[in-house]
Amino acid sequence: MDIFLQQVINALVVGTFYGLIALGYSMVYGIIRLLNFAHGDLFMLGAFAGFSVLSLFTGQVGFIGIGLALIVSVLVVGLIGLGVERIAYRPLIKKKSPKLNLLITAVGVSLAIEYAVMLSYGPSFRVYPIQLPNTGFHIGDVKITYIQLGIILFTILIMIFLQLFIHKSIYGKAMRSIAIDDTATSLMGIPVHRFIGLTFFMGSGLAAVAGVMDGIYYGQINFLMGFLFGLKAFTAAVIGGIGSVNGAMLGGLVLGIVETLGTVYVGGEWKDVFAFGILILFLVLKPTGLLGEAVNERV
Amino acid sequence: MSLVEVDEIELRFGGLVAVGDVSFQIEEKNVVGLIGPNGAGKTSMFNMITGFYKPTKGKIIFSGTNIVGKKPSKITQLGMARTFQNIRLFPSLTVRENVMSGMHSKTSQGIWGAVLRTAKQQKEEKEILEIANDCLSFVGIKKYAGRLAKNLPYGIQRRVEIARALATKPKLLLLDEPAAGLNLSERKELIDLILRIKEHFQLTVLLIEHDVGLVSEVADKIVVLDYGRKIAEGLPNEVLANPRVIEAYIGKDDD
Amino acid sequence: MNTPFLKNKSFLYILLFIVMIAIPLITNRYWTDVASTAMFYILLALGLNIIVGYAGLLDLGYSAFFAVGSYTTGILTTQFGVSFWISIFLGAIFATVLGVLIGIPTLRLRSDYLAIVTLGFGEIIRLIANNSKFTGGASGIYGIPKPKIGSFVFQSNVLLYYLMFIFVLLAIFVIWRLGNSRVGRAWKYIREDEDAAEAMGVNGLYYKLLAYGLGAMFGGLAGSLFAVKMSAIAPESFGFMQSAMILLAVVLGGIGRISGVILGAVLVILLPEAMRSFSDWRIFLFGVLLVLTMIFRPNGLWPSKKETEEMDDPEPLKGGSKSVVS
Repeated sequence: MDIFLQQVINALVVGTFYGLIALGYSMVYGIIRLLNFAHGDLFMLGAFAGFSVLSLFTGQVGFIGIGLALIVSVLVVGLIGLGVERIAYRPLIKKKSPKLNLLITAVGVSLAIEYAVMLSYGPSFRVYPIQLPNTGFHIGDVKITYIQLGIILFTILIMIFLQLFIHKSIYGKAMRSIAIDDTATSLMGIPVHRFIGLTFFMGSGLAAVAGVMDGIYYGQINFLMGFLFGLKAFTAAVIGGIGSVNGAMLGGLVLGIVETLGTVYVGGEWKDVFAFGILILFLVLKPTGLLGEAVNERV
Repeated sequence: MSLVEVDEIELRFGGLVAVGDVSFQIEEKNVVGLIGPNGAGKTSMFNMITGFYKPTKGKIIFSGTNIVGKKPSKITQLGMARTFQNIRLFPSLTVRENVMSGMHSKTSQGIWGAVLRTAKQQKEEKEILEIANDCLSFVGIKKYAGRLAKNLPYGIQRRVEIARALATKPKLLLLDEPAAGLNLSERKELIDLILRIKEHFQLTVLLIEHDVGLVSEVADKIVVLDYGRKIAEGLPNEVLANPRVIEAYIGKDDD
Repeated sequence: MNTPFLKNKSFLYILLFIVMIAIPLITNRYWTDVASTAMFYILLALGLNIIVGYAGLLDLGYSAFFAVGSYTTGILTTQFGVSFWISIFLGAIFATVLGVLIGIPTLRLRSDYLAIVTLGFGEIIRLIANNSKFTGGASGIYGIPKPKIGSFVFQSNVLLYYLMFIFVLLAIFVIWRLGNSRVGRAWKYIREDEDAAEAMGVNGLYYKLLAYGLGAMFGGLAGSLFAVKMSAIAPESFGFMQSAMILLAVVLGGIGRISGVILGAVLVILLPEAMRSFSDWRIFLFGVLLVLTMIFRPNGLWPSKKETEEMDDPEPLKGGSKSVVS
């Protein structure tokens, strides 16, 4: 039982990473119905941006260092996300290219980002330049480290902020109205493209946060880390219901737990098969996910 | 005799009733106009008859078979053909290829025929081409046959869509706002074309139209929908004099 | 025929045919190997083209079918002593069956979901190959015997090259005829607009399944040939990067057109040869190339078909022959 609970705690941490990346998938999909295939790679870029910042510090890295790494990473990756939208996707969306072309472009962007990082940082695993003490506290026999606690609390904070932003701010309202009907929104005088850009920036920034935290938590990063992680985050978005903010986080947590339990009871080498199996099952049996709404496509 | 019987049809999206309890009939070899203000449920009705939406209640009998729940492709094979309100051609195929699609349901060659080029396949291919060319000639756009559909002006695209529908050799032709976006002379040609189609092919036509004037010129009967309900049915001049219809149009519609 | 001799298309094709036959005779072993690899990619790209180019379905896990063909031949020939010819036949059948099995639940999905599901499926197949005993785990299968007819063994690279060449010619023949038939047109209608195709009586699900199954079959064939050519196979050959390369081949030259796809496959093989001094940049540049192609030449490098203007009927609005009336 204790092993089980311990695994659940570990699963929650992985789940928050999935959830944070899933948010970006969901937000972008919600607003322009594009599956940003390169999103997982933005997560990887976030980890590397944080890596570069933390490498500047000599000796102990404190909270200031971590804070700085997060801020720089969010800004850099956010801007890259914005650039990807501007350079790769927007010309196609403007031309009303078939969806197939957009998806192929996204695959190309993904490959380009991955191998650009490989060219700059090398192909092997890099050790994250920060050592946080592995201390924590016990509840019964279950140990929760301060890092785990920090990650979970920080994610909760982000979620609260996102909720407020989307439902209370004028920006959030504009985004939601674009998701419903972009033509009508643009007729209302709202600069639709700027909001699509903002969505890309925010989604990319969230992935960057997950990237830095992932680097700190696992201690090593690699240029291909975003591929598998992105795919799983997409699974999380589908489980939760693509387009739904709460769903993305819920999906992340569910996937984290299911996957961790699968590892314990079936075996680690089948972990990924498990995740993709769930993805396929959900898409086939409940494509709207747990919290998503059915989308009627107009004939 | 009626070719189509729409029997107490209802369509709900969640709590919203898009079409409620509508019944009417389309008599063979008639042109029936389905009119109503914006959002009256015309296109929903249309999409139910053609199988794109599944009604939540009711029956649609098409030449003796209930077609509710059948796939659009199946319904087309039974002898129905449609056009789309916002033109849905195959954009990067040629006009001829577009119209050839109409013959799909009237032919049967599969993989083996294609690979081995059997005599039967060759014959079918020839027939498909012939019919496509005839349909193009009939609507008067033969010279565009080799052009890509997406590069043609709007009025021509409309005609391609009609030719494509005709190539399925339908018993019932459904036209969804064929006059939308046409200029005056194109509109006049369209009226002419619809009457010629009816005459030449002995077809039954269901016509959804915003343009009441056009409908009254070609229709034998008009059905009026408003807020998803049928509010009138009858001969064009009767229906257009009906106070409820006038109210629906003038009292509420503002375009 | 008033086309000048040199511009005549069939002349070009005959010339190309002679060059392809001559390659192993006039070049060294290295270039014969490059040409053999090109043959694989042509076969794979032709198969994927049915799915992506004709039917417009994005499959990001095509290497799964390639893997099934490879492992079928690998396992059957090394462990059960089955002849290559039976194994390639079975490999193609298994791949087709797998394609149909994946297709039945997933082809109803929206196109972008389909892309991700196929990607996930490709990974699952690779992981199964990597984690199972019968596939030899991570080290794979080796010592796959060369094909033979009677006592004649396709031992040399040159003979294997010709074997693949024959398969490629066969594939071109079959796929070209399919593409220009009622079936091929149905695929293109679905690609262009599935609702409109459905309204014209084209059963969308059936034709998508057909495209998927046939595409898978060619993937399986290529896989079997790959196994005997390499004589050793391992899971790494069947990852996402493989699928992405095949996709690039389909897209680069001219999606949906056989000549374009062949050009694309040749480019995907030759470009890395041309820039071997900075081979680290290879995949990065491929990614950039995918994006640039989609933005600037979505129909690929091969020149597009010309539109034609035809003679109008003498009396356009009165015409209509009797054959239309059924």
